[in-house]
Amino acid sequence: MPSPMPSVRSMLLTWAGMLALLALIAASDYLPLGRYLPWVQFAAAAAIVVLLTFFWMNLASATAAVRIAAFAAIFFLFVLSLLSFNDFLTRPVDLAPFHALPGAPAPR
Amino acid sequence: MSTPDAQLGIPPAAQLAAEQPPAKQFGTRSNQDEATEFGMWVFLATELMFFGALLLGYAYGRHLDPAGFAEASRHTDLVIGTANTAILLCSALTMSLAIRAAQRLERGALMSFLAVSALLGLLFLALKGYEYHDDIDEGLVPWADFRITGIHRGAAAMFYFLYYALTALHALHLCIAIIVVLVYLVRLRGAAVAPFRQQITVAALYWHFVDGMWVLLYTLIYVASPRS
Repeated sequence: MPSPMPSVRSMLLTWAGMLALLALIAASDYLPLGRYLPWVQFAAAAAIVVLLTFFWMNLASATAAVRIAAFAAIFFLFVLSLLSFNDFLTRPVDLAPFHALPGAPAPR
Repeated sequence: MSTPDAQLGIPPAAQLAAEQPPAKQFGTRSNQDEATEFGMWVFLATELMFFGALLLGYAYGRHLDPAGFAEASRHTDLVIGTANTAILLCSALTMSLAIRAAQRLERGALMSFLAVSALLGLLFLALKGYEYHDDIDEGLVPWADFRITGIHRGAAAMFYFLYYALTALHALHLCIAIIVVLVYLVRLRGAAVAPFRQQITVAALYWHFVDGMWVLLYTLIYVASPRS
């Protein structure tokens, strides 16, 4: 059973929205956003990915099994990253030779 | 623009689709289509894990020395990176239009949109190759004569190692996607659209995954530091 496809008009609107978000990401590099810069950029990138997956990959109208597979991927990536960081961020860092340059930032 | 199957002497599409029996392990054609789509999503989940290991490395490196990653990011070519992202978003549109044409059994439109998608993919690869050439010329290869010096040299080297690994892995995926599209273009010559409808829809999922992954890479690599 083919998934229902959006109309050409809605496809073009989605595409225009994606390009506008891309322009926002590129322009944000030149705006004085300070520490909010990465958050603005990641929010815009995430919005593009959401538009892509929900509307053009039809996740919005997919079966429950497909949605579970998609969200399980993100969930387990999050869990694996959390477990890895639990190790990496809580043990002392052994300096590699290139880190031992005079004045190099101290390991956290 | 499109040539209906009937004009090629091919039976009406709906009839042809109805005549296609499902594989023996499926009760109906609909079951088979759902299983195909589900299988592709599970495959894409494993692909996300594949990229995930490198993305984790990136997050760790950026956490260790954010200033070093920011300095290295300023050496990337924002214009080419942005143009390439726009090209892939355009290819995502043409691929979606190709799926629409496939579901409406418009073979002319389908073949045109698939061809445009493949060309946009090739344009992306050409620009990426040009960018690699520039990077090498500018001494931005961490395992060769690396140009960035100073206290952030180590982090910058780690950034560029991840840059090459992530973008090359992405380019490999895009090559595979382009080959898949070209294969369908060849197989569709003089053939009915109906038997390929679900296959093309599933192939487009892979194409969109490659597009989405690039948007994330673009944000991590090209705009990781303010240029103002």
